[in-house]
Amino acid sequence: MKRWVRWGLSAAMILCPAAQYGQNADFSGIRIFINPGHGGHDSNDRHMLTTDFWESDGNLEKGLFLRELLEARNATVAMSRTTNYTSDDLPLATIAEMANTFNADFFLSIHSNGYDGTRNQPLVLFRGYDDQPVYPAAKTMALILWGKLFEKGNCWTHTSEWVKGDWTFYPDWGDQVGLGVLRTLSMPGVLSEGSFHDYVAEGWRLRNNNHLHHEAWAMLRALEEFKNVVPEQTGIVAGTVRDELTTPEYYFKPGSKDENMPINGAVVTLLPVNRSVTIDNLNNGFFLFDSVAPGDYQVICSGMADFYNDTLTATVIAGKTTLVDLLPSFDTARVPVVTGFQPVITDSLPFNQVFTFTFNVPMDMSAVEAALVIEPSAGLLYEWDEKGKVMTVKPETGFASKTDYTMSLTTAAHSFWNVPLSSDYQVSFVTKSRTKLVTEMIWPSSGMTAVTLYPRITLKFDAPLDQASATGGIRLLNSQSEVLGKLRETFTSAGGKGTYSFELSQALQLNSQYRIVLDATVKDIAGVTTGTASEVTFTTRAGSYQSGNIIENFENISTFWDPETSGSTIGTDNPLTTFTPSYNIIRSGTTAGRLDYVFTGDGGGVCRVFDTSKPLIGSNTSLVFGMWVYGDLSHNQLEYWFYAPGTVNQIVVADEIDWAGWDLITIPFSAIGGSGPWQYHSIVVRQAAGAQKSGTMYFDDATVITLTGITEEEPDAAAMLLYPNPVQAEGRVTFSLESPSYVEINLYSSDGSLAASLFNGYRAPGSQAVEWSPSPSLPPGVYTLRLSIRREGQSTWHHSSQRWVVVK
Amino acid sequence: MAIDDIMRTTFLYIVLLLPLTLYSQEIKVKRVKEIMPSDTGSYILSGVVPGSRNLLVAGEGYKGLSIVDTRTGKVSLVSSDEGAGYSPAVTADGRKVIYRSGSYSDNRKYSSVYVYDIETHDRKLLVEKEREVLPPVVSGNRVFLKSERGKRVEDYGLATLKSAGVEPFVVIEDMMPVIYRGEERTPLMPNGEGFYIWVSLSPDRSMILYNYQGRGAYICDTEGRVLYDLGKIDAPRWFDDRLVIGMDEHDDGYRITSSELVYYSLADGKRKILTNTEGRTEMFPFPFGNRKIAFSTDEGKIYIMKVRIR
Repeated sequence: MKRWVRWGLSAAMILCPAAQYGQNADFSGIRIFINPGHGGHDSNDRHMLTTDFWESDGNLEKGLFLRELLEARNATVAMSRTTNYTSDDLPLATIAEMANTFNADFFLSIHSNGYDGTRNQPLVLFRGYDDQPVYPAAKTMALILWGKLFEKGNCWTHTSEWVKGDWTFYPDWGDQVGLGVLRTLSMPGVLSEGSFHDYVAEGWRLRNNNHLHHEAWAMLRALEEFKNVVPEQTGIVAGTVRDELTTPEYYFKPGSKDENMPINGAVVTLLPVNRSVTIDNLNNGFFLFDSVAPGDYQVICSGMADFYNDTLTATVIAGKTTLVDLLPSFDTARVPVVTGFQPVITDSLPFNQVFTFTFNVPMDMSAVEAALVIEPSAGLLYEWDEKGKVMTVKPETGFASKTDYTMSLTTAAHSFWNVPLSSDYQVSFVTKSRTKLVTEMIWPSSGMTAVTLYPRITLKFDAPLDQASATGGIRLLNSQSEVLGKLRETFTSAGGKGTYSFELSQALQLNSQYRIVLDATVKDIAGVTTGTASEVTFTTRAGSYQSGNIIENFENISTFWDPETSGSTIGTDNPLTTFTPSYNIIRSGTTAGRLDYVFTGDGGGVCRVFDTSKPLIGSNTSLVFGMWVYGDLSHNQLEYWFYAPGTVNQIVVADEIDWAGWDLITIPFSAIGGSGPWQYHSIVVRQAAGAQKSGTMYFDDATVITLTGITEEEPDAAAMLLYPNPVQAEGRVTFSLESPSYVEINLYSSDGSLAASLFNGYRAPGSQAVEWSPSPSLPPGVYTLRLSIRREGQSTWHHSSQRWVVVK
Repeated sequence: MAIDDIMRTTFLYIVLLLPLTLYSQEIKVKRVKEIMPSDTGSYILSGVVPGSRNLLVAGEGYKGLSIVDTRTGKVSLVSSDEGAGYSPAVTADGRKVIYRSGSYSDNRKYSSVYVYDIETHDRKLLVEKEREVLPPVVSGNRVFLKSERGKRVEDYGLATLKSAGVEPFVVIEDMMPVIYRGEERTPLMPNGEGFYIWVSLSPDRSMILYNYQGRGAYICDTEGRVLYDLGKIDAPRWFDDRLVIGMDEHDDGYRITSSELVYYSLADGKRKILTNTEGRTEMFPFPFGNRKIAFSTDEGKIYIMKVRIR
């Protein structure tokens, strides 16, 4: 590369003594400070799982190459880091001080951006408000740089100029807080977000050093214009080689270049200078020739197994990039083969096993389906991807129990261009024994207490249900054995399993027992029944719900950010993760907030919904914050986030999401860190180990509740207080008695089982306190503490329940 | 034991224990007070005026330099120039502020240096629009100035306050510490090649405090031998000859998420936490007299912390 830089420089000297126009011949005497953002693959870094791209790597490569370009033009350059270890992840104020000490003329912080996976465009930030930059020169350079970044590419999803003051861009960080690295600079500086690394196509390009160098070239061009230095007298030829027939499985902007899958490993040659580059195998198809003298060229791609060579012409202009995108034609004579088959293990498969065939070329779908033979015979259903390369096969009703099957794809199967399969493809599998439909989970579970009055009764089975048998054979009965009406019955199936759930046409009664009854006739889609009848009994909450001052009614969902807009959201699938209004599932008013979320990994996901109205909730630590939350039984963690004065997050774990339906989920103000007055600002679902990776929840009426309203309505169970909550080493239960009473205090886990017995015996009238230390063996989690009181000489028990969070 | 022996033993103990009691080891926070500037502006703390109740504060991007009276909050503008608020120097008698201001010509930064009299408000140009101008450095009442055209020392002390002998000055040139003693120039690289920032001479002028590569603070002697490894301390400053104060900043790569004040005691060789507040990002501390520390926050607020030294 250096050879071409030198060649370009020589050409510049010969061809353009432009200093005569008042321009500087080079950067002599100009001091540039480069800050490759982040560093060290640590928690401050951004890592894209799909592309295995680390932002710190990309930023560094761009920075190092820009330094090389600048120093070749006699600039004096310093960098905040030249390697990528954790020790390189310097504090932001330290980076600024380095630039100040270096006495730089200009500061450039290099980054790439992330949002929701659907956006790709440059963004350049300067310090100040949009129309009130702290350093006007910084805004000038920001505008120039944005233009240079934008014109070098043609895979942008948005085309509007995006140059912003950081105070305007980050209003929720606090007034005039903004980017830490720009705050204490004593010279003009910008932070460049060259592209979006979570837009998967761009993420793959960012793995290509030539693409990173291309961005450095754009920065050089911007600095030349900004510093009035003679522009480059050479140009760049850059572009991609793509498959005209294949679209990627990841998101891309429809109609964009990214609609076509890049081709790996192609050789691109530039004629007549006979320079060649081999494209990497990182799914970007990107190539670049820099320092090319102006003129006309031929660009040829070759060396591709399944494609014909392709040639395009390119006219190179000094100081510009000429973009060339090659779409070589597919070799339609290619013989189809099965390149992939799932599952790998073919023994003891479930009755509803799904099989996937992957082909190397688009297939004639109907010919393939006709060519698939299964013995013994079974009805099959087929699904295809849109390119005809992936076929999914599943049984219509289910495979027979404990049976050997053979599935053969004969040579009658052929490609879209009528080229037959070279040989039969055959696979054998054995199904496992299955005599009955298995109920895997029922919520509320047997013996569960303090159940919400608005549950979604949920049952999970090992197979999708026959809907008619479930509707008639699964009922909820009250203590008088009356059947309650159902509402919004839902059947879902995933992974070969089935779920049936329903709400109730009326709220349940306080402190009452209910039974979920399953008939023996409930069956799955294959006709296999449960075989025996069963039932589950649970008890509803003892205390009524508290009302208070509603500080967010979720009537205006536009005040909420889409989850991916928040910088705290990580590990979610975009754009499947959304926050939208719900018009049918609501607690009050006309709308509630609906959160659909999908975590992409097995852990570490965070889905945050930021409420830009950030309602103030005050600082009275005797109050309680609550919100109506429609749980999804995902067993992820629900958090409420608050701002203490300023913009420091105070995170409170509200609950494990172990319920379905509406429930009022409260936390005491005293659980919020820092000191008030606080602002409530976000709902967060944090992925828990082993929890569901996707779900749908609803939110309504965030409320501030006065403590007096927490009193249980039971006459003998006066105000019970749990302190502290969450409890770690020591806790205390306080309550008062009007008369001598027999008292039981028990702690129950979320499945209704007894976790600890805190007290059992007589107590005199007056204030009472029971001390308790959680056993080391008690797992952290959300528990229900139940206080039961029976007056001396009476037989009636009165109960009070509250959630108590145990932490370690 | 004879009375003489007892007295001798007691004296010996006193002599042995004296250094321990003289060398301060701990800083305890007594109280913190926010200074409310009369113009309600947000500022970066950039210095203190010795022997006074005045602080030096800078505007955004170190544009402008002002004096804030900590008792009344009154803000007096020294300069509105670009860069004037970055690393100003004040003479030991608290009378003169020397600051560097920047201007751009042909997109290159040129710097001038001024001396400003706090009492009379007189301003005098010391360096006019030059390149490679270092921030002014004060030792006593003498000011060290250096630019591409050379170096010189200006003396602003009254006759009775003038420092005796050759004052050492420590500056950063080409990212490394350099000591000037008269015409003698001694470059130092105590930790080898790299980026040295936040360099300062100890009050007794025997040691140099610096941050190396942003990775940690160190103290070396004037020959460049590393004496102390202070750990992660950003923006370190001498509180006295035996205590160093600074900050411990954390961020998410974009935004400063927290910053606490820390200190290091040379007496026991330990780095300790001075503040632990969740809602406030304490940054850029300066010793303010011998019992106070001034600092600013990421939101541009100024605070005075009263401390007890033990």
